[in-house]
Amino acid sequence: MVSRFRDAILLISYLIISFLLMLSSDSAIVEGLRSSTLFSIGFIQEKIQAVDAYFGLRSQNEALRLQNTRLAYENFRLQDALLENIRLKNLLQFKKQSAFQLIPAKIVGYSPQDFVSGFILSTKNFRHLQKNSAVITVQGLVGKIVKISGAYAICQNIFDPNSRISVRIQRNRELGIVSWDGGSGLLLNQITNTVTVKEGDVLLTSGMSRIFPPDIKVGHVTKVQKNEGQLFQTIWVKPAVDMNTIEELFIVRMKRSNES
Amino acid sequence: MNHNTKYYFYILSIFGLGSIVLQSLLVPLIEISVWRPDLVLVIVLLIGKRFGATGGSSAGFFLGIIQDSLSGMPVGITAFPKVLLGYFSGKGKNLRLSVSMTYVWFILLIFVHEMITYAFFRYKTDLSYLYLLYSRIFPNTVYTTVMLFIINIFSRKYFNE
Repeated sequence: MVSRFRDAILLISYLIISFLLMLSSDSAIVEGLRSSTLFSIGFIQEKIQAVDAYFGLRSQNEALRLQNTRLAYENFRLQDALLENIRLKNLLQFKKQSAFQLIPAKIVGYSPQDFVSGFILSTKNFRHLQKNSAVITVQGLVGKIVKISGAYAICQNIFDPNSRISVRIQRNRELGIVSWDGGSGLLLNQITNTVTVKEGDVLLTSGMSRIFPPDIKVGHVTKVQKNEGQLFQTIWVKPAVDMNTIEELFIVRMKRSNES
Repeated sequence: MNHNTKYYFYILSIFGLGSIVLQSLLVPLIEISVWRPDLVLVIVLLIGKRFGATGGSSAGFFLGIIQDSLSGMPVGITAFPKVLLGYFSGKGKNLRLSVSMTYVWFILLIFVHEMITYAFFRYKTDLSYLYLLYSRIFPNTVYTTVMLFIINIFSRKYFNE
């Protein structure tokens, strides 16, 4: 009797287990499963990727990218500081900025699904990795770390359907939330119709969340549509980072107050 | 462990894990706009066709779980539709379909898989299902079907009895 319905029983069991796993994403079993899978597949993919890493060019390139990213980040901050300076010229005190450390990492693979775009990262400084750390390149924000296993980490990029980023429009300091638009762009949400937003306006991380440090470039506005009868306008944003061309990136580690 | 079971594990480990590595490394390079084929799905279909409903649903479950573990999405979100797909791919074997009808059956299964996957996925976004239907489900079904034809040509001898 049981053997007759073996296929159906197995099917139902698998469906129930899959559904239960979906509901218990943060449980220890699922976390352990993720860690071991990430470590194993990350290791295999890193070995495959290592074929094209030769003659030390990669480390030299890494050092240059590190320097370049630092300079680019300084540039973002200086652009922002210029505007801030104009508005706050009568004030003597400046808000203390959080210190951070950049940890170089390389992409060893992509999330193997057709609807999620994330990266599998590998780094030598894995001891310093923290969950929810921001990930950036010289162009701007890439995403955040959602899972770490040994020297490997999963980066949820800004095109992930779960991704929500608090941003500030550089020109007028308005706050909004950036999310994926379903294609290869982003949407700036929660901007009321009364606010003037122009094409080309630059969006920077606001620093309002604990995940992303302030003043990292997220993208720029490409199209604005005011919606009559609705509270918010629809704003399309082009990401600062071209996700198809990046190979190496940097994980932003916020230093604790007692660290030098 | 009989010969068929050994062969099943051999195929699952070589083609199954291979498809996950390729999905992770190769597929982003052949992406057209935002459309990607699902190579893991293709392998689950072929395993189901070769080993029947039990083999197909088991392959769908294990490969789906591994696939989910490598992204930030909940584990099980692609395993669920892949289990169904592997099962019905295996059941198609009992129907003794002609070659052309087998392909039609597979295309239907790929489409159903994408519909279920995006039905779950929709809860994570503000996008409408209709938008996902024409922007992702239809193109991904076409692209995965093309990859099914190509992979089947090159791996036919491993998946035929």
